[in-house]
Amino acid sequence: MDGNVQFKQIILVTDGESNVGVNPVTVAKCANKKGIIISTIGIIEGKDKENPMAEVQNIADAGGGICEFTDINNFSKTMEMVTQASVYKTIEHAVNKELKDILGTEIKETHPESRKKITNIIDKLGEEVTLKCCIIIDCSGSMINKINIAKNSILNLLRVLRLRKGKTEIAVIGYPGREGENHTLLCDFTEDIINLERGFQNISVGGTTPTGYALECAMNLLLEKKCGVNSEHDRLLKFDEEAILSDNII
Amino acid sequence: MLDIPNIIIGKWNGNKYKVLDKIGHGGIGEVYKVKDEHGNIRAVKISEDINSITREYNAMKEFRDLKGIPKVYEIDDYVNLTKNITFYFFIMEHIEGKNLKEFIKSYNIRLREAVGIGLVLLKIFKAIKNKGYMYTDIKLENILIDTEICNITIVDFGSVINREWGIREYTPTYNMMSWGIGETYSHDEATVFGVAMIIVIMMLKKEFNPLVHKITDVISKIRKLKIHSKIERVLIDGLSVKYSDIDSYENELKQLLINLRKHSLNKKERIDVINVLFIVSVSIFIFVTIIAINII
Repeated sequence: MDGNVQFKQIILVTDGESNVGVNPVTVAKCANKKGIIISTIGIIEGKDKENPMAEVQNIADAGGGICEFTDINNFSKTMEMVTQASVYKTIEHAVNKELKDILGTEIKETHPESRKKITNIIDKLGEEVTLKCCIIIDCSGSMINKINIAKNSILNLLRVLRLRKGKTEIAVIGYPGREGENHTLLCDFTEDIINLERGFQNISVGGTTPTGYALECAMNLLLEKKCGVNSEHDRLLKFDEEAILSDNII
Repeated sequence: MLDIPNIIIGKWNGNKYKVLDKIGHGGIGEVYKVKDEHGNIRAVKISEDINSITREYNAMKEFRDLKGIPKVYEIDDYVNLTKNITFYFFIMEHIEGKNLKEFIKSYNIRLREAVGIGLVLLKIFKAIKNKGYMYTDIKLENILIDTEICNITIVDFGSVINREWGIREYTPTYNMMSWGIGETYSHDEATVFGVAMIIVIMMLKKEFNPLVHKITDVISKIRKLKIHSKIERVLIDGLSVKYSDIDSYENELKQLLINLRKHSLNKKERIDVINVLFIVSVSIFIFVTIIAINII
């Protein structure tokens, strides 16, 4: 492992359970096998149901990531925490595996006073690794009052992650998409806050919760495959149609 | 919640600690008051996260000679094979006192005290900076005050990073980037912002969330405090990243504190005008008297 390693992760943000389409847990398992870590954030309101979104937990378990629940006012902090913690969890795992392979020992089998060196290696890797993070944001009807805070939190996440030595790129997928589609690529991978802000202008709230499809799209995006019905080609055509139909066209 | 035993025995060093009370919990672990075998009262931080405990212990060890930071004594593991649990922990100095968030609920803090606390914090953060580190999670809960001896101590060093690195742990209210302030980011500016926010929140007794409020909301609340315009300016400038380094803000706060001690800033500026009028009238009186004496 060195600083040039790319760390691919998906962060799924939702306030409910999927209600249409493929099983997101199956997709998460598949993505994890391909080297992608999937973490989840469940947005809850006050004292929520007894069983707060078991699916959100299951997706993170299948995706090798972390699951956190938060109310919307603490979303920004949770977003940052989950992103960093899943990076470190994975690096720690990899470093431990190498220690075992090379020295036949694990960090917990060394004396606590001499663990500093290992922790320093982990910290350095975390600081320098290239981070590609695809955020999937639930834009279904129930998110209407939370979407602005969610948007600002994602912008803030990029601002903070950009301080790292390693490169950080963020992409954002909204689901469901517009006009009955399952998802929309709001912003492709970018290091630029302005691109991200521009992408958020296309956000629209309302509709069902096709979590599985959105996860598939994120996985393909990270693996640099085309994204099903939302491929670049299709998106461009739609854009043209909108322009033609618009009254403002000269 | 961790399943904490009544007595913690270290796996490597073999020291025993009797667990007395729970003191608090943070993002990565829990803190308990303990008694060691010699009867000394200590605090223990316990977590299942081996790297976080190692990182925090080593940061605190670097700061061993600094004031305002609890001393650390040892790091060890707790292993219970029958229950199949492993915790990682370190032992530190037990600090008496309340955290500032609790403290301001029951105590009406005066401006002079708030500025004093801000100044102490800046000194501690500057000392950490001089060691090559940055404390990023500035917030009321992480600052303890012992009112008996008027001592300020910072706790929770999980956020400490090498100064050349990006921040990992912070609380949005005290983080300038969360408010969208500053074209660029520097650790010094972030420290000044965080400390200014601490002073402001102690005075306003209310924490603001940057996802809900704008910084202009906070500034208009400061204006409503009707404090002296110079103090108002120093607080607002602190929140507006007008100071590029810790030293210049430290100097500003020092000047404020000196003036507040002289009480000259406690009253409205009108007093200054009255003073001027008084001095002028006395001078005229003396002048007239001298002329009168000369004439006689």
